[in-house]
Order: sequence, then structure tokens, then C-alpha cells
Amino acid sequence: MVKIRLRRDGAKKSPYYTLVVADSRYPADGRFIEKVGTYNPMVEPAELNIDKEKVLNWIKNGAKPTETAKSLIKKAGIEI
Amino acid sequence: MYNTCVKFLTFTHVFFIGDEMEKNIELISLYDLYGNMLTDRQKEIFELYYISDLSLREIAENKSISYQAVSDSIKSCKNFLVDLEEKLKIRTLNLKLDEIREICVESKKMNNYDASINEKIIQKLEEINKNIFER
Repeated sequence: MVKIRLRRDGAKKSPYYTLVVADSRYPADGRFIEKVGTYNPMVEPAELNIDKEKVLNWIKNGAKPTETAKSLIKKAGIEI
Repeated sequence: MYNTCVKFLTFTHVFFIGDEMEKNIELISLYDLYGNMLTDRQKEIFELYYISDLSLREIAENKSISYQAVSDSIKSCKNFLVDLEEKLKIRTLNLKLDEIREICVESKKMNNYDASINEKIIQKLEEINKNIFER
């Protein structure tokens, strides 16, 4: 199954998140198929960039977002 | 790299997050500070859950352990990190140091001497001092 995950990047004290589409068969090795968004909580207010078209397309094709990914997608105003 | 990434993104939204996500960010900040106090196994499970965003079930399958063991480990890591911060308050002190740094940076930008800035810095340093003895 393909999943949409929110992966933490960035250094200590400056977390930066990327929304990635990844194969759930290789969950732990960090490989991903495509980057579909970013989330930066270090700026005020927090900044979220999500490629709506790509996310909806992946979901349409069966990708399942994790709970955290789902909450960010919803916060971005994308109905899934 | 960030600019390139934003260039092809079609949806941009700026907002305030006040939910579970914010709690996770706070917990990861504590992990950045106190993570080395956890065992290697706890660290591994914590990172898979909070940094790689794997589900409890996926971690259990990946590590060949029970769902309950993963859930217990996550819970105990969480309690341990929160407890350490309550006792040591290093994150609180760190945030106060950041505020002082911010005041100094702003003052440098203004490029003129202002006694009230010194006052602000002294006040912040006193707060830090008080915090150290109150833990």
C-alpha cells in the first residue's frame, strides 16, 4: 500500500516537515516516491505548502494518509 | 532548494496550528534535548513514530514485536521526556535564552544605544536565574 506521511527533516531546534508519498512495504528506510508538501512550524505563523492536485491524485489512486498527514491536509483546506 | 520546491507547489496556506501536531512538535523538541537519556531501543521506536510518522502497527511489524509493546514504549518515552523537562527545565531556559538573543538582534538592527534594551535583557536574565533555583 502507498501512504502519505509527514516526515520530520531539519536540524535540532529547527524542525521542518515534508509530506511524502511512500510505499508502506519499506516504512523505515526513508525512501519515498514523491514529495507533495512542506510544513515549517518555525516561522510565525506556521507555513504550510501542499500540492493539492498531487495529494488528491494520490488519494484517488489509493494512497492512504497517516493521521498526522491527514490533519495537515485538512488544515490546508483540502477535502479528502 | 526550498524555493525550487515552493515554485511548483500550487497551494499555499498560512495558519496557526493548535492541536495534536503542536504537541508532537513540543515532544520532538524535548527529544532533541533529552533523547540521549533514552535507551537505543526507545530512541529507535520514538523516531519511527514521531519522526518517520509510522503507525504503531507498522513499527510492531517492522521490529517483530507486539503492538502493545510499541504502544507502551511510546507512552513511557513520552512520560520520561515530559518528566525530565518538569524537573530540569532546560527547554524553558533555552526558550528564554532565545528571547534574549532576539532582543540583542533587534537592538543591533536599530544601531543606536537604548537603555531600555539593557533593562529588558537584565529582566530576562533574572527570570532565568529564578527558574534555575525554582526547579
